[in-house]
Amino acid sequence: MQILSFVKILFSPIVFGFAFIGPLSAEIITALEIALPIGTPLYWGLLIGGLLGLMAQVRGSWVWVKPS
Amino acid sequence: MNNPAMTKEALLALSPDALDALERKIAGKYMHRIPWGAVAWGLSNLIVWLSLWPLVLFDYLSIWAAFPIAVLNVALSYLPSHEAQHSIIAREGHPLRWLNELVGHVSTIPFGQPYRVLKNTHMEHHAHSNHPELDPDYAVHAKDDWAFLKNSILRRQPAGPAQKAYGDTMERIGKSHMLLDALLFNLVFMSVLFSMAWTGHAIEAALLWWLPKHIAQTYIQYYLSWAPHHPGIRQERYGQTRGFKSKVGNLLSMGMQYHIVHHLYPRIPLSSTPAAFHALKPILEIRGCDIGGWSETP
Repeated sequence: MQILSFVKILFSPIVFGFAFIGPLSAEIITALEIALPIGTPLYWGLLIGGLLGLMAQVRGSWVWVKPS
Repeated sequence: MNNPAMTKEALLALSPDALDALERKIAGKYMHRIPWGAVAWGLSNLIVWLSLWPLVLFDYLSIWAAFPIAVLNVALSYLPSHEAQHSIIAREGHPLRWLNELVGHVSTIPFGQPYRVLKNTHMEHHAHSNHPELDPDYAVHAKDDWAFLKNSILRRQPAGPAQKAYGDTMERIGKSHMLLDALLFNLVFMSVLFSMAWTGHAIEAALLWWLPKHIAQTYIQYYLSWAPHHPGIRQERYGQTRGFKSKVGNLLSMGMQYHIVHHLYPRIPLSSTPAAFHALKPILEIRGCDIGGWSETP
């Protein structure tokens, strides 16, 4: 059961948001040379990834629209 | 139609048994061929996709050049495995059975889906095509192209039912232990994405695997599931699938214009389904098959 819980957490949207969307967003911010008012690209990337992951976790959807 | 024995009148004059025998005889001409093209396709496609990673990471190839190749690789990764799922490359007991299983297992690596789960759920799809509860691909049905796209995107959301149908099917047929394969595939997929992302290669991971996988999944679902089974109402042998003329041609529609032949005779290799379809067409018509735009061609 502990393994199952670990797997559920690993495959959760919030983890995907922080672990993949976050660094991905940071790299895109850097590549596009977006001027940031405060913080580093990774800080903003993790904010974007974290918020998207949280939304996907709560709503069950990465695109806001819930699956029927 | 040149063959007088294949005119509508001649076929209708045959007894049901004679018609069955004729149909099987024609279909039999296209079976028992080893699809070496599919073998080469499955293995070379994997090699090309794997080679993109070092080529991109060591700056031999631009990620923007690699991205469309990766999309193509992932989109092309399913069909060779599909040939293996039906033991078309080699049946059990055949000296080349190992090759059948090798192609089945490794060709879907870019697609991130395990062979044993794909095979078993696909067999259930064949056994129960268009059955709302028993066909694991049933949920792909939608009223039109756009409804398919919306459905396809929403189904794979965290709360969507995409994976549940396959999991439920594996449980129903008593093979839920094989879901471990799916777990391992997902673990590898996530591990690669996460480790690449935290070592400064998130864009590469996104464009070599994550995004291609999503694009290819949509493409594969559209041409392999939705298009040949639409509208997905009939469940009888000659009504499970339909023939259709694709606007993008046979190659880009992955040979699925002739999917009707595959459901009737799953041991016919993909590369032979166009010829088998045209040879069987007069019989399919009198069987009441929906052969779409092909009914107007001689």
